[in-house]
Amino acid sequence: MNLLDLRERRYQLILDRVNKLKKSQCVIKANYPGPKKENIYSSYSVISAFRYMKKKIDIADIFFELDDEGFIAIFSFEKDAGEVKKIAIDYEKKSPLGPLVDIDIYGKDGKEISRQDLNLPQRTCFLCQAPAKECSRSRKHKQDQIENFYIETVLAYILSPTSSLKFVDFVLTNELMRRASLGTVTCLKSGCHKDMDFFTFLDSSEVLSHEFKKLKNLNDRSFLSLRKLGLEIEKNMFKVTKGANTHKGIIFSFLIILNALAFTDDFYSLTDVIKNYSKTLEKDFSNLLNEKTLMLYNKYGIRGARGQALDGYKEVFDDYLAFFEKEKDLTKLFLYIASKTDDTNLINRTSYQEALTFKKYIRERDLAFLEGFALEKNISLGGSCDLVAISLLIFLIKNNYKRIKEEVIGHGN
Amino acid sequence: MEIKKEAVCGSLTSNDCLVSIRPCDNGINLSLTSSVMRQFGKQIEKIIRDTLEEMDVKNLEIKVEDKGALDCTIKARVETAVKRAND
Repeated sequence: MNLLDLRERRYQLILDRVNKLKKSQCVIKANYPGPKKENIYSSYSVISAFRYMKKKIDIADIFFELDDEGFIAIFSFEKDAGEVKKIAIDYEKKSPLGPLVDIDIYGKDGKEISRQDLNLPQRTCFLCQAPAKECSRSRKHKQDQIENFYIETVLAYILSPTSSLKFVDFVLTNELMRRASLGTVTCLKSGCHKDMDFFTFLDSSEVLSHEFKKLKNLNDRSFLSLRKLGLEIEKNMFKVTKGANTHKGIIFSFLIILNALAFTDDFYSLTDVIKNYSKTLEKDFSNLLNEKTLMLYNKYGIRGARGQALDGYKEVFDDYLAFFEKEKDLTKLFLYIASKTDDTNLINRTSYQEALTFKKYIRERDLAFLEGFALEKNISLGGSCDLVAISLLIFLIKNNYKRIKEEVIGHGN
Repeated sequence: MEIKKEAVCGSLTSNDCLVSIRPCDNGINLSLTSSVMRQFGKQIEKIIRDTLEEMDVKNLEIKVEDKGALDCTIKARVETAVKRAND
């Protein structure tokens, strides 16, 4: 569907919701230029606005969509529509990511509340302060100029020195912005999981972005010390997820990658540093592991998340990173990874042979078939999701090495 | 092209417009509202009339509620509305 069809269909959906639910509606979408608005920056700006509105007012009937217009959040609320519009305008104006989203409010009559209705001044363009409507109508600014501003604004926000590592939250929430689920939790589906959903992951991401900040004041950067910190972070993750395992694998790999920044001077030495640093993990394979993990290793040589660290995340640095830089599409990246990696979540839920078959299907069959197959077999490709997040993290580090190292490690090390 | 029935196309969201048309037999009756009427009203009216002429529509009642749509959007919305009315 093209943008015009998407917009018309979505407008109809909103009117249908007003009629059916008899409640005012809020729609949050990215204020991103051009025909393809779906990307990591626009998604994060919508997520941030959604979290803000969710904190400010009681919302219900939450519904998400992900298409060429980007990630879109729609929900109902009981509060006075004019009041909610004022809250939205306040966010659009005052929050760092506010100018990057449109928060539209539809009253119980299905009519959109405008700034004019509230006797408020028109929204201004984020580049030149003229009325935004006139700039977009006359195409005053070039598309790449607006895109640059958009991306720089998001980067400045997620890399700014605060009490949490916001770029971690950026990576982990974006990992969920996939049009393909294959049994995993995404912004659209919970896959085959009954104990967690998109909101569990949003909360978990936020906690992790705070927890990883502890790396900055770590005096002892030995593997043992990192393991201890990992267990502490895990405990705090389980507290907010009420026992669901949202990010255990991520805690392991992100700690190793981020801590490795302390021993590097540039991006290109990172993979070797991780490799050397992780050597200790080899010992795990001689005694410490559970039966299943050992069996996979002894029989097929598959070492799972530990193996990825031991290899210095070679598959990410050598392959997935370039794929993402070229395609700039998380759904494609996810499917690409799933078709290549030995996902231990998948193997453990099926068998080695079935996992091979499924990987072959990913290359050959359409998405509808794959989704049905995953649900039927109760498959969840959690390992591939972790690699999507790791690829995004490495992508960010590559392009912002100094800023990220400063935020994670600081000067002292 | 002949307008056989009522038809609607578009939306009342920003950067879009809602086009509603219905048959009539005394030429083109256009009513236009726009959030950028002062700056772009004339230009929008011209696009609507040009599009109708291109499609050889001689008689219709057309209402366009514009929310700052680009020229190409207005043209596409009018075209689709006319096609739907001709179906």
